[in-house]
Amino acid sequence: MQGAIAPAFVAESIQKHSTKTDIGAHSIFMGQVRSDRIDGKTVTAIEYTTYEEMALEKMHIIREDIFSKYSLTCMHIHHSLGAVKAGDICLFVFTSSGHRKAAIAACEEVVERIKNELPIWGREIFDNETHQWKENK
Amino acid sequence: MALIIRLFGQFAEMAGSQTLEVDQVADTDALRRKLETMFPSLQSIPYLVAVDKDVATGNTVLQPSSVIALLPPYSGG
Repeated sequence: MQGAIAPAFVAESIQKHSTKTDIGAHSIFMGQVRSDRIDGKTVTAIEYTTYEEMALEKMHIIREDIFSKYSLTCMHIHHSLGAVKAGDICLFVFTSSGHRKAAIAACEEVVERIKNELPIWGREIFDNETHQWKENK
Repeated sequence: MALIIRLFGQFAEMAGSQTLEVDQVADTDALRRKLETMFPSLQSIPYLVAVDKDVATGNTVLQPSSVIALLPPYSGG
């Protein structure tokens, strides 16, 4: 989605699951833009771009893998594109299952795979209007 | 016959363009050698080459119809 993920959107997503009464556990991961200090400069925002066709294809594969590995009721994933200010949410992963273990393990695995496999790039914008390209650790 | 290479992230910024045109080469190893000669700074960046939306692992043959992209290290999430 374009820009930051609003906390209200997260709350609404949770609310929508109240009708699915076979769910006994939700696991949520949210990534927040960190205001790193690098060489005396402060990160004020990250601007995300992607290779969309490839990212969607990879996301589809990750989704299939996760659903075949874990007993999930549902899974929702949202990643920001464009500028997201420090302190705002840029990634939202939400897994639900009958019991806690599947939801927790699936959520963690999805986050790791997003970081390692999705062609998405973050450009860190500093307070003095310079920038640098972020690299996942 | 020329290959059109799609550029992303810092590569698009460095080139000032979303694409780069190079003469046809046989495979991804040859492409890497060519690009690293044209842009020596690539040698110090662990970049990936995607062919038809898949990361090329090992040497991959390039067809004139291949969709080729140069991917800098990922930083999503």
